[in-house]
Amino acid sequence: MNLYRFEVTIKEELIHVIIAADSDEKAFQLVDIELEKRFLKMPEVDDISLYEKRKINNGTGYVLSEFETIL
Amino acid sequence: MVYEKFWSENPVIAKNKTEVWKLEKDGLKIFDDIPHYAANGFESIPKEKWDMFKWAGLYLQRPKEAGYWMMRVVIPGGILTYDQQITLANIAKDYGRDVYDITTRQAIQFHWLTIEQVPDILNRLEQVGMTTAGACGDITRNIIGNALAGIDPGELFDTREVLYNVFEFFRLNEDFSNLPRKYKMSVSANVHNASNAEINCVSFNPATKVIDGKTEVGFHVKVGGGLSSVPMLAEELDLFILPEKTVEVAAAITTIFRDFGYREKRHRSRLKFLVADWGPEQFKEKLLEYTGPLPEKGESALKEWNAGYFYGIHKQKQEGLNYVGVNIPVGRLTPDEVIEFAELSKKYGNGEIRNCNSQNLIIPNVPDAKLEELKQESIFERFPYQPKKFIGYSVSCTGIEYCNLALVETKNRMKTIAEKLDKEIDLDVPVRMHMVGCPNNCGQRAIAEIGLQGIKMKNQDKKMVEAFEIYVGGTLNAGGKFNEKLKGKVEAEKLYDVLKELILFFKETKLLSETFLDFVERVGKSELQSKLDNILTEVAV
Repeated sequence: MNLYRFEVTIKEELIHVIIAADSDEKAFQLVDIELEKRFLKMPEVDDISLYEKRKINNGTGYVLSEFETIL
Repeated sequence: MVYEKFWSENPVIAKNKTEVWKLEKDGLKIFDDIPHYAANGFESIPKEKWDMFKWAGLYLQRPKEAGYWMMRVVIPGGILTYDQQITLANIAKDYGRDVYDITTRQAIQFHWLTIEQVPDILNRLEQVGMTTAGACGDITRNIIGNALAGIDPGELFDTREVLYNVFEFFRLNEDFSNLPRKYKMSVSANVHNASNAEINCVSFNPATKVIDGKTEVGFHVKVGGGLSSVPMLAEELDLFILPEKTVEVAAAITTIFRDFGYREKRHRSRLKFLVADWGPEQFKEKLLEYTGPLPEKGESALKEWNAGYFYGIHKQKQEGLNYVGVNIPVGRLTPDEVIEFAELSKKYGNGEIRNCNSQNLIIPNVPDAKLEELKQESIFERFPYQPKKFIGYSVSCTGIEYCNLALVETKNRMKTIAEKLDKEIDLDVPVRMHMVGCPNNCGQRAIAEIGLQGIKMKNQDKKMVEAFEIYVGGTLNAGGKFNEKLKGKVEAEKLYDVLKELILFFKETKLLSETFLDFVERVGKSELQSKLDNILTEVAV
């Protein structure tokens, strides 16, 4: 199982999405699901990018201090 | 020498499970356990012991549960004898599915090993004086040297003896096998900074100083460099080190790292974090507490950086002898090719081969009389000594093929792209391109003229695809500068087209003999960004 770090671009705005999944493909599917949960009206998603994955252990996490995507 | 692990009293350490097991059992002790595990199979290895195998140079490949190991072999300064080359080639052939990779620290790596095979491999290595101890783990890693040490007409002095003394001091030395984190050192008197001083934890670099009216040769020392996800360029201490003091100073710096380096959190344990907090002045003062007085800095002998490239046929410092610098695309060879080079080095030289940290190799000690015959050898059609401008200067990490962290394929992709660029574009200067598969920078993306970092993204058809972001303008010249990212994400299958257009823009706009690095500095990042925007609109849609 991995912890994935995504950046999603929606209408020229960036958001972080963190997903636990056992494959890259599954992680991308779960990003969509998390976005659907987050928005009442699903916005147009411009870009979903996976920047990093880490093996999940106790304490695995990310600091989301800045975005890597340049708008 | 017995030392006190005083950090064991720190209650915070108990939260770091790696530090806990390191206190219970030294990492090097894994060598004692390997025969048992080899006899009982991969399933007999408790999961919590997997990390300990790093001290024996062994990492589990992806997926870890499959039980295949990557093994890294230590090659101090990159110098290999004929017998060592044959032994390494036969290991790759007998056990490693014909994969033999030269690393960016002058070492070599095998893949696809099973635990059952490891005792025989270690035995074969021992018979030719080689080890895997220190190749991985929280310990002094393979020490980088001048690949031309002892034969370099430009070197300040021959560093082979100093480097071997440092290597022997740390080899299997349990006083220094429980460091806070990986620890990378270089010892080189190559005046073109071939050892990449600024990205080592500790680097000894060529310098002179007038002492008592006599000009002495020795080293300046830089500390706290490293790449990974938080890159930092090493800082120079105001010290001059005579060659005979190198082991003592290396031991003192390593003692400081061992005893004052941070152990609470593994992601802040590299020496660079201690140096960032202390600064070079405080670090120097602490060092002098261990070594006693040392002279202040003299004159650096470093000139323009050569990035570890030694291509071509050149005269050695020894009259009548030559070395041949050969390109090994992205560092990968088959065992038969390794044997071919070994036989060549024996026939024309003294059997020795030198690995470069640019993932290439050197055949040294070729007499003038044998040069013409050597040049006719067919192996140079596959591995040229005058390589083309892209494939000759391309570096790649292992990538998704074997690495658990990588998001994309890198090694074969880098090779394919570079070879295609060479067919399409003729330049008057080489372009240093480095490709990495994740943010951890194992392929040294941050110092490339063009850095390519892999991500995954959804394309316009909502399909998950491999992609890359492009960085420009990295160097280790004059203290170094990391490259900067351009806006835009390029699908892997369009990467070649985008790079081709970007490099054609460089070709059409550049000055005579201007390098890509100089070009970036002259035209500015915004100009390149503007061009990339256009390319992405035209090519990547």
